[in-house]
Amino acid sequence: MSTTPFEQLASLDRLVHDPARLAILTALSACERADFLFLLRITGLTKGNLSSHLSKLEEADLVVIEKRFVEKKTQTLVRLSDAGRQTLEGYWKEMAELRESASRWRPQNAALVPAPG
Amino acid sequence: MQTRALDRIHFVTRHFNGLQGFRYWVPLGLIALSVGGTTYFENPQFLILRAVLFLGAFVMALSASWYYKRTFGEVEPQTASPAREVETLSIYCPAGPTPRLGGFQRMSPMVRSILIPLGLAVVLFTVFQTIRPDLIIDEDESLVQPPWATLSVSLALQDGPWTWPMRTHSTNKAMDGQLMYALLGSCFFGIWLGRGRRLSQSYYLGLGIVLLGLAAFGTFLGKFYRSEGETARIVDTLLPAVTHLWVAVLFCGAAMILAGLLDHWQLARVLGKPAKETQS
Repeated sequence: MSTTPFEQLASLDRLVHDPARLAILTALSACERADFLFLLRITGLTKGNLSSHLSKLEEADLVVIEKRFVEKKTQTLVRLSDAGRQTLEGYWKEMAELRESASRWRPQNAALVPAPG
Repeated sequence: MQTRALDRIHFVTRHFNGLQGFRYWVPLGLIALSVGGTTYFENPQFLILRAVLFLGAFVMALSASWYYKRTFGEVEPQTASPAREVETLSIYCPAGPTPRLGGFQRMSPMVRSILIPLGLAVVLFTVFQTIRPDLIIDEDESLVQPPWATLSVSLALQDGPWTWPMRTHSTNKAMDGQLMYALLGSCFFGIWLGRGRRLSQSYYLGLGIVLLGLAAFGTFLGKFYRSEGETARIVDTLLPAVTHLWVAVLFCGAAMILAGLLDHWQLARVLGKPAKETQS
């Protein structure tokens, strides 16, 4: 049974599909780990927003957050978990399929589409 | 979020450490400038300039590391997984034997950026050493006059068969300069390849082509020389750059500084300023 692009779009993982979280996951997929300041700068998010998105990703086991002390200050390091890497790869695969099916999709009953004007 | 923005995020994160221009290329360029502009001339003022440039380069390299950490944060680069590398080499890979380029691209960026320039430089070095220099270069680097007074170069076609130990000191120095162009040019070319041949990194390609072009021009200088004692205008213009070692070092230093500044600009442009919390 084939699904329409709209159904595929609706079934996308919302946790990953959010632009801010996708930016965070994309950055983390290109490195071993990054600190909070770097993620702040590369995503352009505010501290509060970034913390909130990271918490959601950590709850879903997509990222691992580590804290360490450097010069008496806490440094937060974030890395992509194995599950997170797989989820992101799956997401991009789904997006590629969606793009493919959207380019092939035609309305089944074109006569029912109202003419402009 | 546009795909292009995600691509930029991926690229900058992956090459975050390499894009820190003030940490690597700019200090190296300053050291090259200090060596090229002052080493071959005995002048107290040059010695002071040399000391200032050297010190400036070291201070910059140390403080830039702190600056980047404090301003843009830290990224631990990705290490190539050994399993992946073995898979690309294996004919028993479930997907069948992978193409060579595919395997090559899966190497860590560090390995790639070392392998490409090294391979290219070895090839170029071999070619340059086997090509017969059919010109005799006679320079005046008497160490007591300012550098610009020594810029004139006299060339003469070599008669008879060339033998290895017959090269003049000036010809040897010119060849060292050409080799330096070849090494730095291939290094820049390797960086451009290693960073995925992106349009935003095309300054590495441009600089690499210019430097490799100068190396090739210096090697084939004899082809541009007319036996009547005249040289083409373009040859006259470029002659100091390919015959004086100190000019070659200055050129290379300037290219390193330019590459470093452009790297830093790329980093600063993408990472921008941190967003401020809005108060409700």
